[in-house]
Amino acid sequence: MKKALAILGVTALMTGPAFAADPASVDWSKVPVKSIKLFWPGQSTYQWLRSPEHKRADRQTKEGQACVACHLNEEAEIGKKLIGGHDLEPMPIEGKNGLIDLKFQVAYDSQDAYFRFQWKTLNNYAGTAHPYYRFDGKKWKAFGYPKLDAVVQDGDQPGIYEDRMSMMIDDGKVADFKGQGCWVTCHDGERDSPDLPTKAEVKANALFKHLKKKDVRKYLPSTRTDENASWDKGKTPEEIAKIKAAGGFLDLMQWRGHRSNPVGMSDDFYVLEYRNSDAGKNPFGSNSNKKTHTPKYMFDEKKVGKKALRIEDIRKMETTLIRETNAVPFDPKADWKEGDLIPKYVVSRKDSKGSAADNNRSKGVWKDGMWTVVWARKLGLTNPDDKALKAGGVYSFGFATHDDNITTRGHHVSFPYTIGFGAKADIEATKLN
Amino acid sequence: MEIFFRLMDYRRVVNVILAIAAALLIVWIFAYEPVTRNVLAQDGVCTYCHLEWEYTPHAKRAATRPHQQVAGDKQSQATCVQCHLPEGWWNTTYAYLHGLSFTDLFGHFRDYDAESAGKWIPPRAAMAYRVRDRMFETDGAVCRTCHIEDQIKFTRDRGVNAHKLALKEQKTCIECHNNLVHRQIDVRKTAFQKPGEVAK
Repeated sequence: MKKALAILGVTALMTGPAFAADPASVDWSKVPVKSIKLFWPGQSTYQWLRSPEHKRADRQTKEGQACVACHLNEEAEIGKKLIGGHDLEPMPIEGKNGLIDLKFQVAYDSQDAYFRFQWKTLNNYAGTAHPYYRFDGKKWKAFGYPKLDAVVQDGDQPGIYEDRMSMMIDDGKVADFKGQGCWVTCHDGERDSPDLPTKAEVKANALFKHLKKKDVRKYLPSTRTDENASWDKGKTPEEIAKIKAAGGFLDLMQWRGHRSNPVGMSDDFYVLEYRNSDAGKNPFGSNSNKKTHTPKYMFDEKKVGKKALRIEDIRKMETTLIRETNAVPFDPKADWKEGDLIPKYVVSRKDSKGSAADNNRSKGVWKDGMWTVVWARKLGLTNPDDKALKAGGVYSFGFATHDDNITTRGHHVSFPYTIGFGAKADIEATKLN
Repeated sequence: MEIFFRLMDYRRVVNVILAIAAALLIVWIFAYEPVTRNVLAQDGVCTYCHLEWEYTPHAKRAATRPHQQVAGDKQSQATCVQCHLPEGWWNTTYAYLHGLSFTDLFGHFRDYDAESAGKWIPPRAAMAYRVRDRMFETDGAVCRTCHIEDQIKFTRDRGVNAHKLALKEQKTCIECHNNLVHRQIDVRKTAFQKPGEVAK
């Protein structure tokens, strides 16, 4: 049986992709490569950009002037300036690079849009590890945090977080996104940003009470009532629903080294009053049993050779817990040893569904210090939480990568670009036959 | 005959007086502005009324940051009139009128729109608005006496990009270069509107 499967697999590889729209099947050598500079933005929030600290540009920014009106070709300079510590970077991370050179390609056919990303990682390993639960002899406790967290900066926890590649997309309906890109979503009060509110303050806020959220994440200024677009001045759910119905939101999709890549997917979110998941289910979910304070799943010993990981396994082997492949329900009576590790998230292609599962053809391979991610997205999606890409359309894109065990604002970002699918734009997608 | 000679003397005296007056007038015409700018309108004259700590960087607890008079010489300090008194006879005369407080006699132009909207504007801010408006109306004439557009040496790309855009959009100096020297006063929303423009 095994032999038959192996022959089948080899045959499939030799005869081409498993399906016509496999992004790996695109002849990328015929698609022009665009070099996009991703730089460290620090805490340059929407509010900072409109404050006098953004010298000689606050007023222009308020008027909607594009970032590149002044900062064209300045990505390297800004990144270098901010990465080592600055008013905008109160938590510098040692050894971090200010700039990442992203090689980007885009193509399309009658069915799909295809993206290819290549970038060098800072570390000489793939960022496929993600926080775990660690058994301390009595309890399962969180182990590994992103590098901007105080516990990592203080040396109390190791920096562990997956690598990511993100895209934000607009079809012209979000004010200022075309010129100011992702910065319209990044605000004071969000995680790792200035003026961080307490959980109690967030939970007491009417909008966040309605959302049942206890932290502030990306949002659009149009969903706030004040000119400064403050996190706590949310419009009513009815008003926000109207903005969404009119298409006034951004698509946000992330390829994740731990929580989506092992099942050949990327997630699918949208940014409106919060960073919301699309309807349905994304490929990852919590592996925490809140009642018992233990993991929900552990590794299937028969398939993985062990039911839990050890610290020495991290970054030496694939450590994603995939429900349909290598996971079994957690056994509290198993012979757990101090230092056993089980991933904090469980990943599943099978369980993903709905609009949240649209990005089910993306795959990244890390080789010689470089990620190569290919990604297909259907054209003409009709979900109310997606920006439908169409032939003939021009869309504004913002790109970001989280590199070197980090999350939230700890990414390298691009200024916005327009991409045309059979139309004039900064980057023009190659039409495939 | 005696009367004739006396008359001649009188005419000579008058002529001499007229000649002297004409000479003085010519000297005055040429000297009025430079003498006013360089000799009379010293910073001390301005700070006789305007609070010194707000207008001179060397005053105790100064709210003013130095603005170099000579590029590269951090010790040099531009004088008040260099930045606030555009060249020209009328502007020079305005300085006298202002110095004698005549310009204050009838009150300054008030921002009726803001006041009717219930916003009180502190006098310090109102003054900054007036000065900026003047710089906007004169297309940064005072800036341009030192900063020659096509001789500006940019140290960073953003300067090149921003100036290229400013030229394209016909923006003037003060629209970007504000809050450089004196106490921070935010630019008001309705500032820098060209005729027919509506504030964003």
